Amino acid sequence: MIDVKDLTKRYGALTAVDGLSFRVRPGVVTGFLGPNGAGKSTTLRMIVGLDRPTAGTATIDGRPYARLAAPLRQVGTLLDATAVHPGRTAHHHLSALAATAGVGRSRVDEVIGLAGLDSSAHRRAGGFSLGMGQRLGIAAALLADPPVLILDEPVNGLDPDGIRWIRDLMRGLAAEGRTVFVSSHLMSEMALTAGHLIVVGHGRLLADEPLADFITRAELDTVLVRTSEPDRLHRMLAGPEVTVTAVDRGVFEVAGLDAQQIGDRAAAAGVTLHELSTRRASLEDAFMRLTRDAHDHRENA
Amino acid sequence: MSEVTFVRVLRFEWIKFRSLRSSWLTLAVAVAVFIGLGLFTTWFVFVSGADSAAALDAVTAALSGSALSVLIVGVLGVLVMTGEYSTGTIRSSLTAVPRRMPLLAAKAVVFATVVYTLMLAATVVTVVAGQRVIGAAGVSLADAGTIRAILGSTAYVTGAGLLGLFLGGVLRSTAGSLTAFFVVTFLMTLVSRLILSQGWRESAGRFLPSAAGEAMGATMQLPDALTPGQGGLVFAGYVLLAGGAAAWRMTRSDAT
Repeated sequence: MIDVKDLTKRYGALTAVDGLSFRVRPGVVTGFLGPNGAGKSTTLRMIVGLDRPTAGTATIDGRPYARLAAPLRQVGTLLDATAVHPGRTAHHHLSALAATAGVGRSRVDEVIGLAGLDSSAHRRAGGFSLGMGQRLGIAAALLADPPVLILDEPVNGLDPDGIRWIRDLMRGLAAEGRTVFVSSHLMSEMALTAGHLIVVGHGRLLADEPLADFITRAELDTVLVRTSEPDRLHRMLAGPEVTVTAVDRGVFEVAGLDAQQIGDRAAAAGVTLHELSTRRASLEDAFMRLTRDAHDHRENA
Repeated sequence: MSEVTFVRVLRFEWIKFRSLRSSWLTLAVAVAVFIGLGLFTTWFVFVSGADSAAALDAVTAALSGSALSVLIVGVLGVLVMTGEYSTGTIRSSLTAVPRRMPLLAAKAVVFATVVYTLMLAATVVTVVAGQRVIGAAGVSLADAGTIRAILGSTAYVTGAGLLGLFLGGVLRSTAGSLTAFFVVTFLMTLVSRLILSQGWRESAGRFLPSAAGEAMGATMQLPDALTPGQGGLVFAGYVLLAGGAAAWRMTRSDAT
């Protein structure tokens, strides 16, 4: 279990992470979602003790990362940036890490096999492709068989085979009862792997709920309305939960009412409609809207 | 059972050190330069007929490569540390060993042990081979002064490497750390010769890092130099100061 409380990180005047609190539970893949620059990597680096929080705490099974007796046996970490010396072979990189946790040679070979790096284990990592580097990072995370995994953008640079492999792997690890915390800036990716979502924008928590709830809540369909009487349309639609956005001259996107309600009101008011169609919002749209709203709030504040 | 003990951190740093080809290449150059320069100087002073035998004793001649070795080993020390930051390896190192102090200590211990062992062997080889070059006129390894000079000069080279490593820990950038290392070991001495008055040079100049370090491997006690023991203490002070600063920076600031 990962516990983050009021976590804040400031770099001078810039606030990268702003009072984040959430909990990551075992048994399910938890997606850590947010656009680039939302503070995901900074949060993950604070969780694993690389960066010092300006305020707040992050603990793993009740302890700060730096106080874990055997960190690699408790938490496996894949960070977004490279963390391997280009002059060192994959095998040596893993062997060195294994030495800190008392992990045997056979396990090193095992994770090399698991990550599909058998043929390049004794090549220097400087010659690795982005995808191979990513596989090596995942091998390092799995090395000591930890119950908690923290993966920053694990699909980055992987080919389609690799992407499917990592998706299956993450779901499998969660199904074994592990805590799997995966960051991504792609809603579509998280929709495929995550069971729970933690969404951040500009360092703040925007959502913390099961994926299914997020989808239900977020998939707010809108209705496209075309009319030559925009003023009367506005008057008849006005209401607290209704937003009307001009898309084009005489074309409006209405949220908060469905096509039937709008059609009924138009008929009652005698407003001529030239078009009335429902637009299904995609999950990606919903995510974009959520993070954009957060941005606007911030701008206004 | 699975705790991260200091022995495990040592093993971690040892595997990292030995798995980089560049470390060994640099050390090979340091050893070759040391032996080559020492033997050449010995031959030049005692055999070639040049009229300078009076100014140098056989051991000092054999150790004449140490100044250049200090430079090479110092650069290696810098790279061992800054390489972790420039390549991002520091991130995996610190997730495996989150406590900064044991990590820094293990890195220093592994580096110092490797350098001291290799340079000690190179020094002994140079002195012994130097005696054969000279022939009967040479000194014996058994002389107390010879052993002390060998151990002291090796300690100077090793200490300089540690100084580089710690400066790397303080500054993290390779270029900055190399510059700092050159300033501390060479430029300060050079500038002090140019700007300090005679009196100051004699009283303060001997406390400069390179003067103190060189005193460790001296065979003859020069009037304005520290004794080997004093030199060792002063030089160790500089190394520990840099070590403290590196530890402070590592524990205080973000890894990235």
